[in-house]
Amino acid sequence: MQVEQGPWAAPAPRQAPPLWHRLLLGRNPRRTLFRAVLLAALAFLTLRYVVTPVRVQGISMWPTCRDGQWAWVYRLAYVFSEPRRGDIVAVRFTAGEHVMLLKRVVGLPGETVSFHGGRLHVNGRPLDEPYVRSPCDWEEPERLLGPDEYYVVGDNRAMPREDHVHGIAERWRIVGRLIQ
Amino acid sequence: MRISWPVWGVLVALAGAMVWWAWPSPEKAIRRELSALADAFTYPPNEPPLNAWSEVNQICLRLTPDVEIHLDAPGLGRRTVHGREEVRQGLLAWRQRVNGARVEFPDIRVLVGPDRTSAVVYVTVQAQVGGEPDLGVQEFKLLFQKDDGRWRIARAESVQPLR
Repeated sequence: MQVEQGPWAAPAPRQAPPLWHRLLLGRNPRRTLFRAVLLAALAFLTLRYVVTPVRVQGISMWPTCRDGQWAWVYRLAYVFSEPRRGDIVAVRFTAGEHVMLLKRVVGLPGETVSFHGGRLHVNGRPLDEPYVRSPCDWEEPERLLGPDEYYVVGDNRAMPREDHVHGIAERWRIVGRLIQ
Repeated sequence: MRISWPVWGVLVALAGAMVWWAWPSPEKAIRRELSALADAFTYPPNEPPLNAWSEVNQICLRLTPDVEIHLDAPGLGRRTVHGREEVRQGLLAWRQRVNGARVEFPDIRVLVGPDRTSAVVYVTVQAQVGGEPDLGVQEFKLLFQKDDGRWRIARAESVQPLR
């Protein structure tokens, strides 16, 4: 029996990698690593700049959003358009965006907003708010919104007015729209 | 004795890390102070009085003697506190009244002044007090001043994101 060696020898048949190797690293580990890095970068960019998961804490947006509920903030919502009345938006603090306020836009730039007998008035007329389920007795004088200002308030008006964070938000603070 | 290039590289990197740790940038130093402050504000339920006294002292050490604190926020009320001693008394009374607190600063934004001896810091404070499930969130604007090589809070005021 002869065994041929040297440059003319036929290449040895390539052994298939074991199952665990294929499951963990794929057939080509280098390609798998590249895919994993690409996927991680894509996930990071998507979660950072497109949609961000948020957990609702507190009851100011009840019953639309419940305490402990998870939702998404769509950050590109206002890149080519402006916030609209009725949108639920995430409002950022000056320090950063790890904690944000979740409110509904009820007043747009240039409008006047006030509360009379618990009803929200925009430009002197009562606004129909089907999302508000709890009656209230809030009284607030009329406020004129500037060119880059929006009036935001939560849906839970049963809370005492003093404990309910609401008011005028500058445009730069509005990070995106809530998707449920 | 000859030292090879890789060993030189490691030694230089170690020296750099030590310099970076021992002489931090103003922003890093302020963030360290805030991290220590959050730890000092956090205390377990039924905290021993001696521990409370020590932690409050740790907080006061991070304030200038003539510190000014302006509070105007839901849950905190509207009040102004002047000087380290008044802060100490207020914090001790608060710790006696509230059984346990967990304080975190999830967002910190540091703006160091051109003179590098003062800085304006915006910080979001998230607190859970007295075992209540609800988290309180409040933003503060702090004025830090470098005093004897250490960054201390000279002024603090609550900030409302909505007007």
